[in-house]
Amino acid sequence: MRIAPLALLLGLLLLACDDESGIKPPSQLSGFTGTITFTGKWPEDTDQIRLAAALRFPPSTIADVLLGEALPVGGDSLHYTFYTDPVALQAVGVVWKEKGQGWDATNIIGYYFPTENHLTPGAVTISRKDEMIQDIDITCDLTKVKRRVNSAIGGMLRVQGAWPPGASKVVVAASTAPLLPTSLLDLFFSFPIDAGFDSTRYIISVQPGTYKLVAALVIEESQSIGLESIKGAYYSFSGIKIINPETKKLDVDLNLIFPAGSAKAETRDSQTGPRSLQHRRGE
Amino acid sequence: MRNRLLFWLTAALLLPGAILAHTGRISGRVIDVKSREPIPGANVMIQGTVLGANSDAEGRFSINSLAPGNYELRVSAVGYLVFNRRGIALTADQTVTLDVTLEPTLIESGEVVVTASKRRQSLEDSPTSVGVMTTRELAQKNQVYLDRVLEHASGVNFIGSQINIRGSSGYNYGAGSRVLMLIDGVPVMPGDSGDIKWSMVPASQVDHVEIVKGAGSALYGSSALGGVVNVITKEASANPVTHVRFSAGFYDKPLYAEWRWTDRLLHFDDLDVDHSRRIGKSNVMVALGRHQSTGYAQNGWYQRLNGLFKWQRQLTPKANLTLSSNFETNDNGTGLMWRSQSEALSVAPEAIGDKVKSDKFGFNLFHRWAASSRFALNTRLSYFRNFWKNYFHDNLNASQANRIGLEIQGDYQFSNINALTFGTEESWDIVESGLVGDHTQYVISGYIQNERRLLAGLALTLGARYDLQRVDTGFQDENLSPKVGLVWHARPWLSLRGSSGSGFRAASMSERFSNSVYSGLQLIPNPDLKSETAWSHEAGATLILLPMLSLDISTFRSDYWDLIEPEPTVTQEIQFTNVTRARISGIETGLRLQPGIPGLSLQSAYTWMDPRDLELDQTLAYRPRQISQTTLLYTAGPFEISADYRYISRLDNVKLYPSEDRVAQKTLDLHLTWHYRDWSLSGHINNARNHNHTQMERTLQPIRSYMLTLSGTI
Repeated sequence: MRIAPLALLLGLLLLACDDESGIKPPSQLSGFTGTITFTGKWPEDTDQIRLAAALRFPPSTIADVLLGEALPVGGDSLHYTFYTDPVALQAVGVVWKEKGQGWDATNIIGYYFPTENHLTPGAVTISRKDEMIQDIDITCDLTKVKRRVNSAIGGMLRVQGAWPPGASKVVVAASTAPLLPTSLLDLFFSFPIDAGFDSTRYIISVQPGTYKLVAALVIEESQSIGLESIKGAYYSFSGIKIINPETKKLDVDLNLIFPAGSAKAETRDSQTGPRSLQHRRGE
Repeated sequence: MRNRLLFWLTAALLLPGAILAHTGRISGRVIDVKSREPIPGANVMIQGTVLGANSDAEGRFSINSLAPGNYELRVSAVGYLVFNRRGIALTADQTVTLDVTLEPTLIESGEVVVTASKRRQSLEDSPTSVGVMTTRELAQKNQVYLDRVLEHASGVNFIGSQINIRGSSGYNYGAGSRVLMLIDGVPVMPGDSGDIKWSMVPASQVDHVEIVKGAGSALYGSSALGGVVNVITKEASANPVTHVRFSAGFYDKPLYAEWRWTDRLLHFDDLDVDHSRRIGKSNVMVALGRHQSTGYAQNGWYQRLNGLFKWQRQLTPKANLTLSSNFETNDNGTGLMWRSQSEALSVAPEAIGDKVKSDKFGFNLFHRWAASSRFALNTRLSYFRNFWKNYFHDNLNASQANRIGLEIQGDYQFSNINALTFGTEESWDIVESGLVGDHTQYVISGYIQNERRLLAGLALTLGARYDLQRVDTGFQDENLSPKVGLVWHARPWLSLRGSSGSGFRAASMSERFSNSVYSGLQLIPNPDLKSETAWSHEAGATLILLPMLSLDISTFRSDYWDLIEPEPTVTQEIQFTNVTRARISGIETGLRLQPGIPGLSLQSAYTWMDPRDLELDQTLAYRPRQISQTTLLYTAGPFEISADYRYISRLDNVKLYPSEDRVAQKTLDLHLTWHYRDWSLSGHINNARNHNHTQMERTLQPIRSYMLTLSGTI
């Protein structure tokens, strides 16, 4: 019997070998790399910048956004590498953080655009554990930083007709562009709203300025946005004036009209996207 | 009006004395039947009365103020069979002296708990499941802080510092707790954050811990949504005695070289000393502890100083007074999340140096007046202060929360089969905070519970509590929390229990008013948060199958409404909202076995749960489906060898980074102890297999560490 305690102790110590079934470092480094170029003057209230990669764009929760490490501030350009497991990203950008404020993943100062179309962010897909995608270059406009403000544009969003199948979210965007927006950097987005409502309120946090276009974009599951996503709009030649960081304009109502039969048509040909009527309520 | 008040006050003061002018006393000594050694800490209860006592270091006890009559004495101690003696006849002014011999048993039994019904009762008489971490288990686990001990309790798991009892809490960034923590029956949740500060009372200052499972608001009010943890601190002994505990250790290298963030040896050490003695007519205890660590992860360092003072005095044969006070000063680094999975023990460069300083202070006054053998009045006055200041790279903030509490509780034993517990509780929270602003909150409540034995072995408990909460913004919330419980000792080897109870948790001030940046996350306020509510149902059975085998089985179901959850927005703001309707159902089993090899015992628990978010029809975030704990203990002469293994299944759902790696938690702790007279020397390997896992995203749990502990009595 005297052997029993020794045997037990020995057995327990033998159990105490390394267990590698837990969390481990990524075995191979995959991700993407590129150069970030900065235009404009660095704001004095810059705290940090980081690379942000969105699994869905526009993101609905912060779980949709992968934030990279802090990048050096103050230079004209820098080279970066973003490590991630294989993943399909709908957008890649650089997010700016104001001193004393929290991170805001929508405070983007530059997107990756692989083409001249700067209204649709470039998708990046890493398909293998050892894949490192090159040349994901980004140009940041430091004049596009957004400070924390209370100013907002909002209103009612009403739907007429049946929602087309495939519609997942609706996001409302306000543009500072003189005519139509030419870049995502000209747009301010609302929180994405789940499709299926009859009417709902929307609100967009905007910087002081003049906004000529407010547009509702219908997003399909797993799809990014583009000009073709706009399904309802409000256009004003004189523009909605947001005078200061406290100004709120909460009566900018929008209608989304889905004509009868659009759901059926959509069922027949899901590649074309939902058909709907663009509605303009100008002044 | 004034005269009437004077009449009642006079009557209240004089009447019990008049009734009890001639009373008797039962006293004696509790000893081990084999060794004839005294058994300290045995629970001695006079059945059918509100009177009882604990045996002292020499095993002696004395129960006064007993009216002439026939009594039944019940004596129990952990590790011993329960002793019952009926028909003890007592006449006026008589003292009956008894020597009680207890027979050791390998199946732990005989626990007496005070939390489930707010009064002393045998564990097997509780209609709800109660887990007890005994003095012996606390010593065997040999952890510095209680959270590391409680994770060995059945059905319990932690997400960060948040305790989950049967999946109750999930994780909400430390803002509010769905489990109520009490120290010696007094709530110790700061008014601002409403969370549990585990470092406040080191395990060395604790006698035992009781864990009540399921909604307990019918007696305890807010926060007891998922259960109650009551930390019972050590009693002050009349005999001069000093306990010393010193431990030191170091962390192993990380399993992967990439994770190594320093060449330094990462180490920790802890020193705890307490001294008790009798001064005049009072028993006094002073305890001090110093704990420091470099941490196993970058920025994980801490330096803490704890103190506990306890003064106990028998004012009259019927009244005793306990004054206790504790404090903690804490200086610790903080890093919310790792830098990357490639550098899982490092924090982002800008967060290096982030730290929090905090001070906590608690003061409690407890007066018990046993007016007669059938009626006792307990009065608790408490004050708790929590101050913290953070030094983060991206913000500086500070908060001070003060809580004053008053509770008056009556225990009335109508007859041998009918016990009534009732009381009123008030608390004031005064918060001055850079995080939540300056606010006050007032809660007033009343509760009543009746326990009645219906038939032989069958007891019914009915109770309810009403709480009214008022916040200085004008917000008002009220909750009625009923409960019902049934216990049936069907056979000497079989006890059945069933209970239903409701619970609620009022939103903490952090959840309601936070408007700040916390580790890069912007928190925004929601002043109109409603209380979250729950109903818990449980049915269970305890079986003593063989002298060396006991089994406990229970099924449970908790329904939650308006669960307050942090909802991240796309702008990376966090706002607490009433969002979730949820249900958690499951089965829990506990096994205690002495398999036939002398000195060897096994204790095992397994919990299976189905935690559902009914709004989203998916698994609730931060809840595992399976929890299992096993302890193997072998005692051979002065040596004790033990192993603790914990398994917590992979979380199905998390909120922040659901696409990142998550694994099951598998932790093995090994202990070897050598006892020599009043001293013991022990070696410990915590997380012996160096298994790497997280409880919440991007936060690696402690890696393997080695520790030596010397403890003893002078």
